[in-house]
Amino acid sequence: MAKSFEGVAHEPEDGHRRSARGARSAGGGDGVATLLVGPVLLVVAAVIVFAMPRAEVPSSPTPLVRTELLTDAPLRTPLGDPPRTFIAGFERRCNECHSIIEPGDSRDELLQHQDIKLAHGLNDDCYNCHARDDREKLVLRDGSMVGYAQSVHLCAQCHGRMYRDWTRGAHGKTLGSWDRSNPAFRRLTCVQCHDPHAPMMPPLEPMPGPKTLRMGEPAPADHSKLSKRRNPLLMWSIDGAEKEGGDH
Amino acid sequence: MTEYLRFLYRCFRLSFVGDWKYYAWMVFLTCISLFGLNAYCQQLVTGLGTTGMTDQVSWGLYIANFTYLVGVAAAAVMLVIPAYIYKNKDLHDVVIFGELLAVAVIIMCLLFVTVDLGRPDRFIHLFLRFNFPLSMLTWDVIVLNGYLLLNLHICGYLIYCTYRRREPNKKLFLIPFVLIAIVWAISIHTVTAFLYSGLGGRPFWNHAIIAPRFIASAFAAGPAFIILTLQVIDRFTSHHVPIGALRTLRQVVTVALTINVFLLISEMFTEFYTGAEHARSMHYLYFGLGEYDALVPWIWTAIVLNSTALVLLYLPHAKRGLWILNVSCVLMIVGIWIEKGMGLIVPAFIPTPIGEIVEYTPTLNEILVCLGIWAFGLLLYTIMVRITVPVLNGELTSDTLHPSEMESVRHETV
Amino acid sequence: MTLRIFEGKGASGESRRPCGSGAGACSSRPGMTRRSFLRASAGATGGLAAFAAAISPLKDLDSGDIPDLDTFLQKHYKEMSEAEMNAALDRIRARVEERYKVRPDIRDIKPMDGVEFVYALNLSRCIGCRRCVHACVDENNQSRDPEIQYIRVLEMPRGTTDIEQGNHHYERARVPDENHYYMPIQCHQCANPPCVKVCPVEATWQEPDGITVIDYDWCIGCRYCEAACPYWARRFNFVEPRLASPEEIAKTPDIESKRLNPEMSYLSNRPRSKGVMEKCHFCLHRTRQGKMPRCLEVCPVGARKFGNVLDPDSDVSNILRTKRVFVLKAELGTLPRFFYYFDERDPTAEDLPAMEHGGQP
Repeated sequence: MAKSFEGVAHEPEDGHRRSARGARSAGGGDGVATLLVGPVLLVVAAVIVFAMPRAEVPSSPTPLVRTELLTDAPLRTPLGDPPRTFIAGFERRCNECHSIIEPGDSRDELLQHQDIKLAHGLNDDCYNCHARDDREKLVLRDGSMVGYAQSVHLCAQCHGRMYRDWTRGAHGKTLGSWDRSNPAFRRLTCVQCHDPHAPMMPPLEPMPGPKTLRMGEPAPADHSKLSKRRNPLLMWSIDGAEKEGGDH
Repeated sequence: MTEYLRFLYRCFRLSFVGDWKYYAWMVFLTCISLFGLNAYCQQLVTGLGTTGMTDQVSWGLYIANFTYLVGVAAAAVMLVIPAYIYKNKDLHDVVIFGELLAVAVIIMCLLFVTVDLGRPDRFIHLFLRFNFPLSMLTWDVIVLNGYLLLNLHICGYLIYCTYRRREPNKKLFLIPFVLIAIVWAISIHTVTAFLYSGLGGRPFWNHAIIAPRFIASAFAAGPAFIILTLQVIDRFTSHHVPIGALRTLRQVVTVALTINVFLLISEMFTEFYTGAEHARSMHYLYFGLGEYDALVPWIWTAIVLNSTALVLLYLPHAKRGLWILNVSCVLMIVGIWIEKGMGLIVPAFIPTPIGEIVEYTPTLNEILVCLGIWAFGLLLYTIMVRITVPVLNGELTSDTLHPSEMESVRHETV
Repeated sequence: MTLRIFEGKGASGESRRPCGSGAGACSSRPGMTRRSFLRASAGATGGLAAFAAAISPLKDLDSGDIPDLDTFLQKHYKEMSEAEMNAALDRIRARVEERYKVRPDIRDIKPMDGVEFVYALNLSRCIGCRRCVHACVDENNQSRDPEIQYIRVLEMPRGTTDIEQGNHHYERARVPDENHYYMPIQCHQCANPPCVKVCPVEATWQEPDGITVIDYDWCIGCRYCEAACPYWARRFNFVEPRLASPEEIAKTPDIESKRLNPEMSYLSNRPRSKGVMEKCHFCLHRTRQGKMPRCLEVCPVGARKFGNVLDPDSDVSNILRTKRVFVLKAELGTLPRFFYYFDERDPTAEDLPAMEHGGQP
């Protein structure tokens, strides 16, 4: 561009002709053009005001959820110590009946407590846990009896690792505070989550899935569709299960 | 000082002068810019929800355009290096148009970043707590603005000296800045590439090859853009563009495009041959994932365009005709825009780092904002060329009148 | 000579052409011809009208979107004095009350000494019921429309821990499905957080207790952190977040779940504005006062564990010592504070015909 400076002094022939053309061109048909500038811009203004579509944002509301499900209350309220139960609408201590009734055999058909469906794996005998002679107590393997509040020790006899994990906080649920020294710290016991007669956690209805902004239709559940290659890792999951479980 | 202000005023007035084609072009650009401005105002009121972006694909067309344009801006250096280092005379005559392009394009880049911000009103926070040198974005802020200032200085200084019919003080005010600008040009695109390649959570970006590929594609698309621009300048203004300049740029473009294709192949080979899980984004880009394949037609278009451009450039008789060069330039400008804009930004987000697939489609509003910025950039560039050409040709200097002003004086006296 | 002519006439070297398109400077000159004046003013009018039309949407700007001077000058969280923080809290109170018709109880709750929070999640227990997802929304005042959630639960096929194989959108009558396990993902509160590194304005940082927080009043909304996060834990407010006010809830009690939680703090769950990022903060307004995070308390199966890793007796310290824990994407060096673990099989459970009991509705 120092070059172009010199170019001013010795402008080539061609450049002269061109610059002349450039200057002349300013005088040509621009009369009409300048006249049109204002109206054109006014038309644009009108188009913007009247014809421009408003930018829309699609709505993607969080589906309504039942707030009562969002609770920190334990899943179950276990029997107290001493345990009480409702018979014909009246609250009764267990032994009010059981002190009169002769203890039956575990294999017998139940006449009372028919709501109890025992599904505790190998543990299929009432007297494994309930004391035969004092129904307000539980019985340990060594024959000693503990109150219902100590049910943890009963469970711990078989579920040693779970018990160990529970004492360390790796299993179970801790509420109130993460700090052991905090008075609000409380650890739920086994039976506050698990039904001792059927300890498997019952399946739950899941709450609504994500529906985020402009998400579109969700991805297909079967990810094997996304790649044609057969994945040996997924041999036992996608292929078999998805087809059966998918139509829930 | 007064002289300088008068220079600015004359430039300002000159930018309103031209023939009907000039008016039509300027009004057209103004209108598009206004549509873009309108769309941006809607976005300001409603939020970025007016764009097609989502939490899953959180960068889109804006950042894609930004990335592409940083490359175009950096490519000005491909005129500067031959002109100043290798003393190429032909390019020396037109180098200023490349630098002006860099100015206009950097302004477009800054606009694209601004429209992408959720809270542009808090822009000042950049000055109050600048996370430098940790955040690559702060590097980008520095290099982009620095490059803008450098080019503004180089162009402004040259034009003003020519206007005043003064010999520019090359050793002090020109050459050092030109040399800095050369390094700086490489840096703006490298830093922009690092912006992406430094993110470990996005395997599609997390490659060492991203920065070289950026530079290669930039040095193809940028000079291609300049080749077309120079011909437009040659045709519509009084400035003569030597054919030798186009020939040199053609070589630059050919080499750069070849390297770009080579790097692309290297990248594809590594990803696909390895077959790692990381290739999913790339798989999505080139072949789609199941029913999700929005980008597939785009990227293959880009590949076809780029390969055609490459073949055209290597054709034995391509040296003769300008039109072959022009066609391949158009092809590669579009091709690289797709490849580097949409093809580089969007797939990195699909699938998300935790495997969700949500596709991205730009909205009308978003496209309008982009068009508006492009139009505004072209508007700026047109004005800059409109002013620069008469100054360089000696038609507008501090002690002469421009023909248009001459006529007005004549009109007065009559 | 020409120069003198130019200067003599000054800048008023007007002509028809230079002024044609409405350079405002020309239009008021005395010597101007009638036609050029008309053209210039038509051009100028057109230009102004078009410009006004273009920016006309700005009239709909919410008054809250235009920051007043105090808001504009509000300092970065770390630079605010106590008085300035109180003033900021007052402004937030007023704004929340104006917008949501709820008087918030907002404070700036500082980290506790000698505490570093860690989360652990037992994948053997999680059943994918998504209670945590919605409890989190209920606690932390995320936008309900559009939906923003911090926790994603992935339904993982057995046989892999590759999260790309997870299904985010499972819909079943009952969970868990026996052929899947479930993996909730939320902010991992990394010790080497990529999101903090990339933020250009230091709007997000790691607190002494390990929680990565955001100053919602400082974020400029560039979404670089969202791109940087390998766990997809960050969320952006693409529009003004929407929650229901008490009046709306009184009218339609069904939308109770869209309520605003008035217990809030500056760095956690106070309502955000549009255009800023947000993310999980381990419920710091609860946890910094000794409480448990909400997602943990609501978990029906006790899969979630939380505590102070600096306390050797805490649950999480025990878990880190005794369980085989893993983190997601350990190869990235982000050093998450969010650990996953599986239980060993309970030896007595081996003989359990599990499929008989579990998995069926």
